[in-house]
Amino acid sequence: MNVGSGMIAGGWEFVTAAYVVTAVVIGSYVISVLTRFSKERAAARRRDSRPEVN
Amino acid sequence: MADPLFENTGSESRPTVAFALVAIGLATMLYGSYVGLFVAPPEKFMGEVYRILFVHVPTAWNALLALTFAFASALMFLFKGDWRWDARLEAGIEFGVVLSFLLCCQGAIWAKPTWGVWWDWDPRLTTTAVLLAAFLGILALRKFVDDPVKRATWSSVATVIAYVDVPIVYFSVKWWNSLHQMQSNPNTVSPEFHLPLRMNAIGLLLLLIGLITLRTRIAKMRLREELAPPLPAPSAAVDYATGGGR
Repeated sequence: MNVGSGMIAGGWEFVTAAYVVTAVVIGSYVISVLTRFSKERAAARRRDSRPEVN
Repeated sequence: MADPLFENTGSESRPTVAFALVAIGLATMLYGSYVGLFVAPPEKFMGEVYRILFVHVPTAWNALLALTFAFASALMFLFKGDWRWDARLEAGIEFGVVLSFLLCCQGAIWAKPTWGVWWDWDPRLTTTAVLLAAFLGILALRKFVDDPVKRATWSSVATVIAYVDVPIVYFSVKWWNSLHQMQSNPNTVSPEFHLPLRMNAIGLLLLLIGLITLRTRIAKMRLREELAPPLPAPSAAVDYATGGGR
């Protein structure tokens, strides 16, 4: 990366890194929430199917 | 059950709108990022590096929004004592922490080519790091306290205290001499840059609403299990069922 004539030259590697980090962090969190939601819903389904005792 | 905590958390209900918001949010961000990377022209002074701002600025807005939602949820829980607000508090803090962490990573990647360093103890960066540490601490507190009442109360109070840092983060560039640039507005940003910035901001906002809705449902289901009365022992169940044991 060079700096000259008032404009930062190059820098695509930093741009790529920022977008990749964004995609990885947001993508991982989306997958994490969807996975946890699916597991909790399955657990809730099991609980709901338990016979009630009065 | 009459308690609203137990509504819409069962195995039958499916949050279709939340799933749709997540999908639309991701698609909007993909399009906004495409425009930001390949369609928008280079900036006059920052060249290509400024393209980081198309993801950095929407992340900052939505991080502060998620933490503001957590703050409002904490106040509502403290005043109303409604468990649904505790579930929303947990969801808001978690996504706020994820976005604040992402914000610091993007900021470091931005700082290197523009400031020459990955990190500087500048007021904006320092207050953001404090914000991340404070809310991460509240998540840890929630993890280690087993009693739901103490956990909800303590984390709500801690959230109200930690939230004091949010306006400090926002105004830090105005109050102190900061390396970080001041807030921009539509009049100070070239019109060609509006579309990717707005697309990513709206996409992340839709994602925020969808994910917080789903995460709230997860927290509600866990609370439902924690707060439900324990089932009687199997032998007692047999006695009740057969009418014996009394």
